[in-house]
Amino acid sequence: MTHQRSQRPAPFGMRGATLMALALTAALGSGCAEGDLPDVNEEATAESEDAIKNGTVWDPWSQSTQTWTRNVVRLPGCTGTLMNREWVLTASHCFPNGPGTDPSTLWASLRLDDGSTVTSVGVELLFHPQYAAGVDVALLRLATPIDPGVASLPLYTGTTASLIGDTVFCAGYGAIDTGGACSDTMPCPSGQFCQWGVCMTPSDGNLRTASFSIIQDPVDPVMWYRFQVPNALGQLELPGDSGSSCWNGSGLTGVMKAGNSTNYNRQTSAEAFRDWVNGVVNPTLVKQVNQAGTYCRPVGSALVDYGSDGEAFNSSVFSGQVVCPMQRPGDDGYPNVVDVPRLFVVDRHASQDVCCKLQSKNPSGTLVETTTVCSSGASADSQTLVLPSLYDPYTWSQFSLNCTVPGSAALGLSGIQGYRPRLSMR
Amino acid sequence: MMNKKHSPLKGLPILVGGLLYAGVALAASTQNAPGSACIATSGSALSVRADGEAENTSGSLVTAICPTERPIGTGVTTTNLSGTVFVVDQNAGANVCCRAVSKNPSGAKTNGAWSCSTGSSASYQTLNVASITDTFTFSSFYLECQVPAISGGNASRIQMYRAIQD
Repeated sequence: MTHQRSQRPAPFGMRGATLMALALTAALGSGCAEGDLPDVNEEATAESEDAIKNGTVWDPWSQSTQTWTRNVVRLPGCTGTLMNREWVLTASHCFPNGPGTDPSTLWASLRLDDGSTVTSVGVELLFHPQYAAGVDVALLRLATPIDPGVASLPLYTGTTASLIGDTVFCAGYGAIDTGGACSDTMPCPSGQFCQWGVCMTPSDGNLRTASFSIIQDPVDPVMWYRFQVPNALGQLELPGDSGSSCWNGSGLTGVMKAGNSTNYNRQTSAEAFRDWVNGVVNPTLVKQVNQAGTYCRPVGSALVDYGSDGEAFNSSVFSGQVVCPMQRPGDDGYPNVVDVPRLFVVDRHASQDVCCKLQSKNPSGTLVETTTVCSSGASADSQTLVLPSLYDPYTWSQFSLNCTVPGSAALGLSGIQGYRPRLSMR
Repeated sequence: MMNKKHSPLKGLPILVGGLLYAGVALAASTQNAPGSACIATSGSALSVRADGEAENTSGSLVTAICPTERPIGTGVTTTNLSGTVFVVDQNAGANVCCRAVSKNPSGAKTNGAWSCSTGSSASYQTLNVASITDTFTFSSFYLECQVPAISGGNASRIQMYRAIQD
């Protein structure tokens, strides 16, 4: 696909949809050019092309510094950062269909220490309440959490003004600028696409990094900041780096919003979205209790043996289902987020596992479920399962755990030892 | 204060809104719990469904005890219990009835008035359980429900209950 070079950047969201990979190229590239920016010169220069070609590939797992980059994930056409094992921070313009985008059509992919890649689809997509006003930030919750390199990442706690002059370290999966010029009448070679009058190739799957000096944004010096680009190495962010973050030593400073291929990169500053992100990613804890397995009840004809030590075991030879209820308090509003950070099970069956999910049921009939998490192998020892969170804002809904427990086996009975529900409020 | 997202419950917007308001602003303790948290009294059994609800699939009436945690001395000690129970009554000849109960180890027991469903339907009904008062600090609070026998192959059930204390 080719684009005619324009004096005014098109909304990046449209481009993001067409760009397959965001990667900070040797020169980080953010494919976002957004808004009316008369000071932006979109003419490509030979310097930026060369710099992009010389960009540095970054393996987060072989580096001892900037370990936060072990949380950087690829998204469809963009880059994101895992704030924890469930939430990906990225740019809202990465989803051109808006807040109504079906999150199950989205995915995030993290490269692990061994070079393998783990991918999870989304289950919830949230746009910043002021995204239409320019706070170009979104959060994607993963259906199957991914354990990142750093368990949780903080956002920078200072003001945008305090960042001016700072140097930040940025990482992303943007496109790669080949340096070739293009236009409607002069398309790029096969395998490349034309962006901003420059031929680019989609990300090659390598994470790329660069350091940038922050300068004030002349349009909105609180909501946004810019980079002094290209930097001394001729680097800048390119298409596909949208949604990526940068680190100043104490926290993530912003989210990549817009740019061009020569001299313009803009990020949404953490000051503009910090409170909202923290409120979603780290909801206020309302209640956390330990519950014995004896709370669990057999479903239908399942048989459960409640031992004298408070655990619940499937005493049948057949697989059985149990439901483990939770009390949902409403003293200060009903908690709308529930997860089970610890579930202790015993799986003594060689070919079947103890598999559990969280569920929320409204009397109207609506049932919300998480993905299922299972034990592994067969052992008389306890295994710990961690269940992903569930969100249900309806105050009449009730929460419970739903587990399938294998029947008795040569090693003995399998069952639920105990569980720890954690109820929180966004 | 409005409920941020209203439940998709049918036909109860005013009632639900009112209860929510009362529960949030006035009660010292409210708890939602699935029907599966209820226990049938000796000699009978409730069958737990995969969605956390509990039904009576037997040919006899089942008395179910639905417990709740009573706060004592941790900022507040509650003395009043009321509640809301969502039930499905599929027995044309008997109703699902619930009441609030407090029980002291000494043997003293306070029973509230029964609140019963009507008719027979596959749809849910809301039972508003009248309040009781018990000032003895060693008393336990719970809701007691009678779930009629299976009828025509259709079981009656407790979907969830909300215990309200202040």
